[in-house]
Amino acid sequence: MLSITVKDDGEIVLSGRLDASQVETADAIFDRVATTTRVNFGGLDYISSAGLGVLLKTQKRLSQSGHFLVLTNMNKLVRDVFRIARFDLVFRIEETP
Amino acid sequence: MQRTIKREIRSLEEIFLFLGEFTGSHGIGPEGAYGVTLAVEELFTNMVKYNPQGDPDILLSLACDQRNFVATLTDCGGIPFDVTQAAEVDTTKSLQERPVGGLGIHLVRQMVDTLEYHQNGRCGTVTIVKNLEQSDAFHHR
Repeated sequence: MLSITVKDDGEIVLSGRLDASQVETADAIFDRVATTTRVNFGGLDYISSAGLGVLLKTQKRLSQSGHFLVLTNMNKLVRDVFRIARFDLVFRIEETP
Repeated sequence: MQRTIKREIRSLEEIFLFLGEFTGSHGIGPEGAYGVTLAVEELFTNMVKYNPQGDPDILLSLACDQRNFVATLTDCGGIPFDVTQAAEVDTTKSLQERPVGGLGIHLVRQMVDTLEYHQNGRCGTVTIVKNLEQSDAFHHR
């Protein structure tokens, strides 16, 4: 299951798994994002191509107005998926120390 | 172990539970579990989306020994599709040029060690193998 919360400062916090069955839930939040926004992956255990698609679609839309997503706190396995997809090229990813 | 899974996206929750039970009871580490789980999701989702005329159920089988974790998906009826022949996506394109779809098979190819397809009569079987002896990183090719 996926849990998404939006904090008072606008940061989106993800936990659980972002898979093909959770796209509608994720879209409901990400479709409302209109400015540069931090997305905290700290509790996210799993992402597949469907989840990457939600983020890519949002990034494309935001870029048209000069905004973007900042992705933070990824665990190693999720970070590997972004690397394999070459999403380093299209997202700002803050590395976890 | 095998299970018949209804051909619908919401079956993913059942698939994740099945995979979680199997990897837990066989002591499969997080890298092996992630790679096979992602591959099964991507392949199953493709069968649901692109072969809606197939039989109502898809068969998922899991097996492992000390070296390999093997998952097979058997999809009968509808239009057979050899997933190993799917075109590779260009992951070097810029943000605006990158299509939102098409990444799934690229991830599968990179995250498991073997991807095979066999057609037998009206059934197509996709087999994925993850080598469990490799280091703690995905197999980048």
